[in-house]
Amino acid sequence: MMISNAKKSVPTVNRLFLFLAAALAILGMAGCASISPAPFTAFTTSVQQLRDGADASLSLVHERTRDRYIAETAEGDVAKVQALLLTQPPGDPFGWASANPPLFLKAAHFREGVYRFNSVLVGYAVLLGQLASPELVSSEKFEQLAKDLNDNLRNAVQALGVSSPSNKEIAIFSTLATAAFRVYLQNKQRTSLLDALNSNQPAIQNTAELGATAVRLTAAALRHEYDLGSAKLANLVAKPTASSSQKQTAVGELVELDEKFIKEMSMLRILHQSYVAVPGAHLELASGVAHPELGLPMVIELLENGRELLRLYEELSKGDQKKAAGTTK
Amino acid sequence: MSTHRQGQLAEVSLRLQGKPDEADKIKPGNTRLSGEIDTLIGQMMDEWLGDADRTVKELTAANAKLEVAVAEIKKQINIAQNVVKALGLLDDAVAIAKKAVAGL
Repeated sequence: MMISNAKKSVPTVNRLFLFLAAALAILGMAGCASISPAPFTAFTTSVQQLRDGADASLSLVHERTRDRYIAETAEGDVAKVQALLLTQPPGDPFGWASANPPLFLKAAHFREGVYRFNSVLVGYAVLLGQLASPELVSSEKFEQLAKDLNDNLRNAVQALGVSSPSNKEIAIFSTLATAAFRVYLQNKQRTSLLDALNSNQPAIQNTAELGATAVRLTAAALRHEYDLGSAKLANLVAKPTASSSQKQTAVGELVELDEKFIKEMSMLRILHQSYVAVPGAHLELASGVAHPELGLPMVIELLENGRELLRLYEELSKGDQKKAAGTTK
Repeated sequence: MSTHRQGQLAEVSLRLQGKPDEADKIKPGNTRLSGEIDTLIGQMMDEWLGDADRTVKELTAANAKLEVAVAEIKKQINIAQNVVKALGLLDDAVAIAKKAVAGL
C-alpha cells in the first residue's frame, strides 16, 4: 500500500526536486565572494610584533631602573634600603608590600600589565582571523557533504521504494543543496565578521590610545635613565682628578650610550606610530570585507612598522651581545 | 623633566669650567628632582594599569562574542553532517521495518 502510494506521487517528487534545485541554484548565484584572510593574518602578525616590541622596550626600562637603584642604594641611601624590605599585607599569605616601592618594582609590574593588555589584543586579532578564515567553510568540507548527501539520499529514496527521481537529479539536488548551505554560512560568516569589526571599533580605539600612552610612558622612563647615565659620564669627564685614559673611556661610553638611546627612541617612535595606526587598520579590515577592491594602506603600514621594529630590535640585541662578549674577554 | 635636564647640563657645564663648588650647589636640587620624576613615572604606571584593566575587560568580552560566532558556524556544519548521516541510516531502518512488517 505504501509502495503504490509512493509510485503515484512520483511526478510530484520530480517536480519538487526540480523546483528545489532551481531555487537553490538562484540562492547559489546570489552568493558572495569569500573573505580574503591575508589582511587578517597581517593584522595578527602586526599586533604580535607590537606586543614583542613593547615588552622588549619595557625590559630595558626594568633592567636600567633596577641597576640604577642598586647603584644609588649602595652609595648609602638609607630610605632606598628600607624600601627594599618587603612586608606581608594583612590577610594575604602570598602578597608583598613596600612602604615606598622602588621604581624598578613598579616597572616590572607595568611590564606585566602591558604584556597582558597586548595579549588580549593579540587574542582578538587571532579570533578575527579564525572568523575570517576560508577554512571555516572550506570547499573540501562541503564537497564531502554533497557526496555523502548524494549517496545517502539515493539509498534513502530507494529504501522508501521511490524509483524516481533519477540518480542524476539527486546528484544535482545534493550539489546545489550543499552549495546553497555553504553560501548561507559564508554570508553568516561575513555578517558576523562585519558586526564584530564595527561594534568593536570604539574598544580598539581605546586600546590603541592606551597602547600609545604606554609607549610614551616607556619613552619618558628610558629618557630619564639616559639623562642620569649621560650626566654621570659627563661629570666623570669633567672631573679634574680623572686621568686621560679614564676620560677617554668615559667619553667612549657616553658615545655608546647616545647611539643606543637614539636607536631605542627610534624603536619607540615606530611602536607609537603602530599603535596610532591600529584603529585605522581595524577600520580597513571592515571596509575590506565589505569592498574587497579597496586597498589596505594602514594594514600594510602596520606590517612594515613591525618589520622595522624587528630590525631595530635585532640591531640593539646585537650591540648588547657584542658588549657582553667584550666584557667577558 | 626638561627642568631636570637643564639642571644637569648646568652642573656639568660648571664642572667643565672648573667650578666644582658652584656645581655642588646645584647637585642636591638635581637629585631631588630625579627622585620626584621617579615617583611621577611610578604613579603614571599605576594609573595606566588601572585604565588598562577596564579596556582589557571590554576587549575580553568582545573576544568571547567572537568565539561564539566561530563556534556557531562550526556547529551548523556539524548539524548538517549529522543530518546527512541520519539520512544514511534511514535505508537500514526501512529495511528493518519491512522485515518486521513481513514477519507479521
